[in-house]
Formats: sequence, C-alpha cells, structure tokens
Amino acid sequence: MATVEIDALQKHYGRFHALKDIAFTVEDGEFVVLVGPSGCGKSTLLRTIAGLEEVSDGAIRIGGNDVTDLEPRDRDIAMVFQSYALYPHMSVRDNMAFSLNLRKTPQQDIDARVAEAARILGIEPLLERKPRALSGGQRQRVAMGRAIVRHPQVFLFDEPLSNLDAKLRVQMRAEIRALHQRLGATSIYVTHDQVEAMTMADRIVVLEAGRIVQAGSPLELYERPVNRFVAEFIGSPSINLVPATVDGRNLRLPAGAITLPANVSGGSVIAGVRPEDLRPAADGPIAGTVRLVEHLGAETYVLFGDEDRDLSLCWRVGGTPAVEAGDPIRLTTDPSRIHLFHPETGARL
Amino acid sequence: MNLPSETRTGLPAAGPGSAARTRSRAGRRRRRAGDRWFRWALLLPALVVLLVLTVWPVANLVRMAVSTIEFGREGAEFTFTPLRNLSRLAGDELFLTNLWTTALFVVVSVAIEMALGFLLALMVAGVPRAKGLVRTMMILPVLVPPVAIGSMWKLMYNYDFGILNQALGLIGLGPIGWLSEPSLALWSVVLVDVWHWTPFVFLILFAGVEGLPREVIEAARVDGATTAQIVRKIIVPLMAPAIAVAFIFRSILAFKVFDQIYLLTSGGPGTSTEVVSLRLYHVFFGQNELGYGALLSLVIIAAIVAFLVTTRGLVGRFAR
Repeated sequence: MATVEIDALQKHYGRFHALKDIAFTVEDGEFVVLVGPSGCGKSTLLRTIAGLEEVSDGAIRIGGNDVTDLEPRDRDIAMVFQSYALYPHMSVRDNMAFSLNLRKTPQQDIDARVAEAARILGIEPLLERKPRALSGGQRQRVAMGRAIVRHPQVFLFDEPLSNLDAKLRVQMRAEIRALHQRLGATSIYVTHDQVEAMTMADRIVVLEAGRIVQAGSPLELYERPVNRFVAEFIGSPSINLVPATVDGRNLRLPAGAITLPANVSGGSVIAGVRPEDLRPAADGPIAGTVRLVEHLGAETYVLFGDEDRDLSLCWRVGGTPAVEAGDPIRLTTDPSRIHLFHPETGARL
Repeated sequence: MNLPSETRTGLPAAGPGSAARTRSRAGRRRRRAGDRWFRWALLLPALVVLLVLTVWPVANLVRMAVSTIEFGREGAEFTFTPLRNLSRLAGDELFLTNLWTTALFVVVSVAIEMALGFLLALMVAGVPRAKGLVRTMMILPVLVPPVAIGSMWKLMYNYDFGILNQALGLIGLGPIGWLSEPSLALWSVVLVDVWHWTPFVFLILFAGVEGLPREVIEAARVDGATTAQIVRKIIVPLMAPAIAVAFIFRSILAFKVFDQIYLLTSGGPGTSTEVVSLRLYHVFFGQNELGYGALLSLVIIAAIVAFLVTTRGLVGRFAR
C-alpha cells in the first residue's frame, strides 16, 4: 500500500476549468471519500488519479513516485466503476484473472488469488457464470474481486453503489468498509451520497465547482463546517438555515433571542441549526406551523414553516411526538449547537 | 395423499357448478381455436409474399436446372433431362476455374475490407471533432454508381494514359498492364472492390465501436492491457455481432460480384477474372443454356451457404 499525493492539480476541458488547484494527501491505508454534488469534479479527480484523464497541470504521486504522465497500467492501481465495467464476454473467473493473465502471472498463483478473493467476497459458486447471469449485488462483488486479486497499491471507487437498491447499498457499504479494514488498502472513494461518505470515510474531501471546500473527518465536517455549502451538504436531513442578527452574544432569531456562548461581531448572519439539535420549548426562538409529519418508526421528521418569513424548517425527533399538520410549534436549541455563517460569502463566523 | 376435489379446487365436485365449469371449458376451447385462426390470418400476407418471392423462384430454378429448355412458338418448352445438365457440370473444368477465381476474389477482398474497415472504424471513433463529417466523407465511395466506378477505374488503369501508369512513370517505373496482365487483372479488380466496399464495412463496424461500453475499455486499461490487447481481447469479442453482420453481407455480395468485373475486364484477359456471375451471364445470355445456367446458379447458392457455414465457425473462434 502507499500514500497518494495530489499536488496543485488543474484540469481544463477547453475553456471549462474542471479542477482548480486540487491538493491533498491520502495516507497509507487511509479511506478517503471525495464527495460533492453532481458536476463538482469528483469523478474527474478520481479519473486523473487513475490515469484515465490527462492533467493540465500539477502532479500526482503514488508511493512517492510521480505517476502524472504514466499510463493507468503503470500506476499499480485498481478501480471499481459505477457500472462495474465487467467484461461481458468473460466468465467471473476470467474477469478476475484478466489483469493477472496480462502480467503473465503463473497459473497456480492466478488460481490461488482468484480463489482467495472469491472466498472473501462469497462469490465462489459464481465463478463460471457470465456477468449477464448475475444480479447487481453479485456484479458489484465481482468488480471488487477483480480489484482485490491485483494486490494494488491503491483502490479507486467511482460511485460503485449508486446502481444498487437502498437495502443492498447499506449492506455493500458495510462490506466495502469491512474489506478495507481487512486489507488495510489505501482507498479513494467517490460518491455524491453524504450518508455513504459519513459512514465509510476516515476522511472526507468535499468538492464544489472543481475546488476543495473542506477536508476532514466525518465528525469534523458535521460539527464544524467551514461554510454554508458544507453545512448544507453534510447531514441528513439538511441543516436548518435561518436569517438572524447578532449583537455581541445576543442572537435574534425570527421568534425570539438566544444567548450565544461567545461574542460574535454584529450584523446580519445566517444561523444554522441541525434538525436533530432542536427541542420543544414554550418560549423557543424558532417558531412556525407544522406542515407535514413524516413518521419513520424510530424517529419522526416534523416539517414546519413560517410563511411570513418564507422559512421551511425540519425538526428531527426520536419516537412519535404529539404533533400534526396545522399545529403551532415552538422550538429552541443548545446555543453551542448553532452555526453562524456570513449572509453573503457563506463563510463560517 | 389424495385430497377431495373440493379441497383441491375450492369448488364442489358435482352439481350446478360442474355444468358451469363444462360450459366455460367449451367457451375457452372455442376462444383458443378462434385465436389460432386469427394468428394464421395475420401471418397469411407474409406467407404469400414468401411463397411468391422466394419459394416459387427457387422451385422454378430447380425445375429449370433439371430440364432442357427450348423456345418454340408457344413459349418455353421444358424437357425433363436431369442427367444432361449434371453430366455437363461434371465435365465443366472452366466452371471449376470460375469457382476458384471467385473464391480468391471473395477471400482476399473481404479479408482486406474487414481489416481496413475495422481499423478505420477505430480511428474515426477516436476523432475528437467533426466525427460526423469524417464519417460521411468515408462512406462516399459506396454512394457512387457501379457504372461510374467501372468507368473511373478503367480510365485510371489505362495502359497508355491512366493516372497510375503516369505516376509510376514519374519514378521511372512501368507502364503496367493493370487489366491486361492475366496475373495482375484479378488483383486490380480486387483493389477496386476494396475501394468501393470498405466504407460499407466501416459504417457497420463504426456503429459497433461507437456502441462499445467506455467503462469496460477503461477497466481493461486500468487492468494493465495495452492498446493491442484491448483490441484483441475486449473490442473484437464485444464487436463479434457487428463483425459477423458485416462479414456475411460482404461475403454474399462479393460472391455475386458482376458489374465491376464486367465493366473493367468482362472476365478477361482470357478467363483470368471470369467469376461465376460472369460465367452465368455468358451461359444464360450468350449460350442461351437456361437449364445449365439454372444448375450453375444452384451450385453457387450451395457454395455461398457452405462458405458462410465454414467461416462462421472461424469468425466465432477468432472473436472469442
């Protein structure tokens, strides 16, 4: 396994600047997730690391070696694609053995490695089948197996779970994570699903419009988002954002005021409160009328709003609260759980 | 264990329900019979077209092949003489030569067209811009009428003032009798066929290349395959259906080649470019031997089928 260093990477498609000065390091054995909305450049970044896209400027080093201008086959990486990209005319066994055959690995070694990967992934009975005879989850496992047999320095995953149904996605998420812990492989994983990012990553790199916005552990991103974009992107349901004014420690919200733990320079701000940080209070500074109650069993999402101020907010509460659509609602939060953002730049205050 | 019928069906075994069931079974049978007739009625137009346009002409060809046909005042008179045409075929060494010439023509021209068409398809698929324009320009030769192609190439091949001999003259070579040298004439005709039909192969294979899943090829690159290995182990097998279609079309058309050779050499010099279609033309229209011509036609059909059956296996093995 190896470190991956991305240094001042730029990628242009004609006039379009797809990747802007990307720089980060993936430590040996680390599982890093690149996350961001569609079109933010995360897949392009992964493809440049794989060598499937040329970079316009900057450098990529794997295990200390500059691989920027090397072909994918010379980078010692393995990649799992969104569509699995299995060779449709080959059996599962041949799919997994393909790269080893190309490297003229002795047949005994090939058989042993394929058998080992098949055992780890539980696909031994499928080895003689063609990909068309497999379900989505089985194809996913074969794609993983094809990567495992290589014993590469780095694993790259390009939204490998996005074609699976919700239940299988949760299962495969855990399996990929378990596999990573077992192999200790340096892994870079692309997804637009922040739940996947939060549950799988050692470290998350958030991208927006081709630029890294924040990199850190999942909890770091959740607890201290550097700006409004990250705050909105991380966390489900999304953070509530309320226009407010601040004067010293006094934060004036639409329906009342709350005392902040520390002084903040005065003026208009955007106050962010996560739905799970709200709690009912008779004199709470956040108020509205319940619009919809979504019962999920173990918890409930109460969607409420204030039409006068065009606010649409969410309260996430355990169990089943005694509220229904049309009820007035009044909530508060722990002042230390409030995130303040600049109303124009969106930067954290 | 046998269960009472009531338990198995949920209905009592006899009584008014039983009569109703019998009635509904009869109704179902009537509906099924009606459906069957309706299906055949829908198929009828297609069957009529097949009989009139395919079965009847082939049957007529077989009838002609076992007959001696003479034209009298009341039209064609068929005399059943199956052995006459067969014994003539057995001693017809020229037809064997024609078959050999045709086989050479088909194998060489189709092999070159397939290889060139495939390479061009790969190259054009990799063109970053104006791919549509390049593709359109590539297929222009297919659009040229055969008469124009024959005339154009005959001029280019002309011994005295053809552009090919003029070009050779510039470097101190030639002139060459492109169409008059018996050892060269067939290959000159093959060249024209390649020029004419490679775009057709290109067009079919280009559609195949464009439909290849990009991620599969990228996966092969990441797995360590070189470009040649990707072509050999991934692209060719994935394109096997398109390759088979192009190959079958071209082989059948090449077997039946007539116009180009008729216009360029008329089968000469001697019989060096006389393919089976030209021989058929001579037998049918030069010698008025309709019965023997029909027999030769059947032999050609059989030869095409044998060729396709043999080569289908080879193409399949190559694509694996």
